[in-house]
Amino acid sequence: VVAELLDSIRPLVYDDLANTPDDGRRYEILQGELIISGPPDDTHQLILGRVFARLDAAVAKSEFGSVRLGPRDVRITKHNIVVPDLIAYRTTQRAQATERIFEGAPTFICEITSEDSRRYDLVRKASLYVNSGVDEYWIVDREKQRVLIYQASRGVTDRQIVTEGSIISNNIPGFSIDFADLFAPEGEIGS
Amino acid sequence: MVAAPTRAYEPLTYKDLETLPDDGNRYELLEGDLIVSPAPGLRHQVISGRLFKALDAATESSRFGMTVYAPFSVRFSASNVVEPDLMAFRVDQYHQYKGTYFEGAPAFVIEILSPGSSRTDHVRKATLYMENGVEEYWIVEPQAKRILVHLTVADEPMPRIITEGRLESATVPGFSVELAALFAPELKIFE
Repeated sequence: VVAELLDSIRPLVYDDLANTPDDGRRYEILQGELIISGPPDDTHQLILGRVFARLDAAVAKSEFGSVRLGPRDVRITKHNIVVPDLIAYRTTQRAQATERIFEGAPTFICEITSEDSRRYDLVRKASLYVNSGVDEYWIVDREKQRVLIYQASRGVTDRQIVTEGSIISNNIPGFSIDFADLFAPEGEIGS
Repeated sequence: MVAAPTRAYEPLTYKDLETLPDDGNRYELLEGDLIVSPAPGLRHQVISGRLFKALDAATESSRFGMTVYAPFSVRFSASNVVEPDLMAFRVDQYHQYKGTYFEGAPAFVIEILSPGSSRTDHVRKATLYMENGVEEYWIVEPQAKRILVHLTVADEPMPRIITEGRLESATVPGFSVELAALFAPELKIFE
């Protein structure tokens, strides 16, 4: 099935993912093309947990809306279906969330890079997200130990690179994370 | 493959394309991702020439609009910039013609596959075209001697696959090609 999809002469859609194997790998569709990534490693999950904990706490205290950990299918457009590590969306967007899938662009997306999907996170997904109505896109770039923040309102070329201090969300009230805490080894988080 | 210099790990834009060498390669951007194709071979050019003659005659005699052949860039967004082999735009789209590039979706696009060109690139282009207003997209496959037809209005999951007979455009009045003639050997005239 996978080989067939990889060699398809037509742009793929959400229904095509229904037949992909349940093997722990992540199956996504970018511009109609099947993209496969391996399961996350331990550091990925450690960092993701830290971002989620702070995001979830901030959202719980505000009127913002909802937070969801991946894997959660998000259909940005008909031929762009992604499975981000973490998404957040406003209460006004709750109608876009069904049991199976989130329809359209959530307000906030965070991806933690892995070796095999880093290039997609940094290039194609960044371009897709900022052009599709995602207001804020965080990429935790493990390889370069930095966080890239794209703000849709300011366009593709205006992108923030954070390597120290506090990382503060512009869209989610009260959501911030200390850069040092993000990459600290387990058990060494300050405060 | 040219190193897409310093910005290979973020979405490239049309500004980056301007810095690339004029070396006969075709440089395109799909979601900020650089796609490099070598200069076309004779077979590709012969087929392109045959299509151009018929398409140009049809767009002119029907007063549909104008036919343009590669290299000429079409800018769908800052990070989606392509150079189709042939395109036709309507008279009322003339304002999208900006002198050195065309902005937005031409009504009709034809791409001719080369032995080295990637099928997934064409799937990605089909997605870009269909989601952004191209009405009709033909992928001509010289080796398989067939044409894949994507029609936006039809909203079909599969492109139509034409292997024989006469194919008529649904978009450009009076434009049609006889597949046998299109794929005939270059030097038929001397046989």
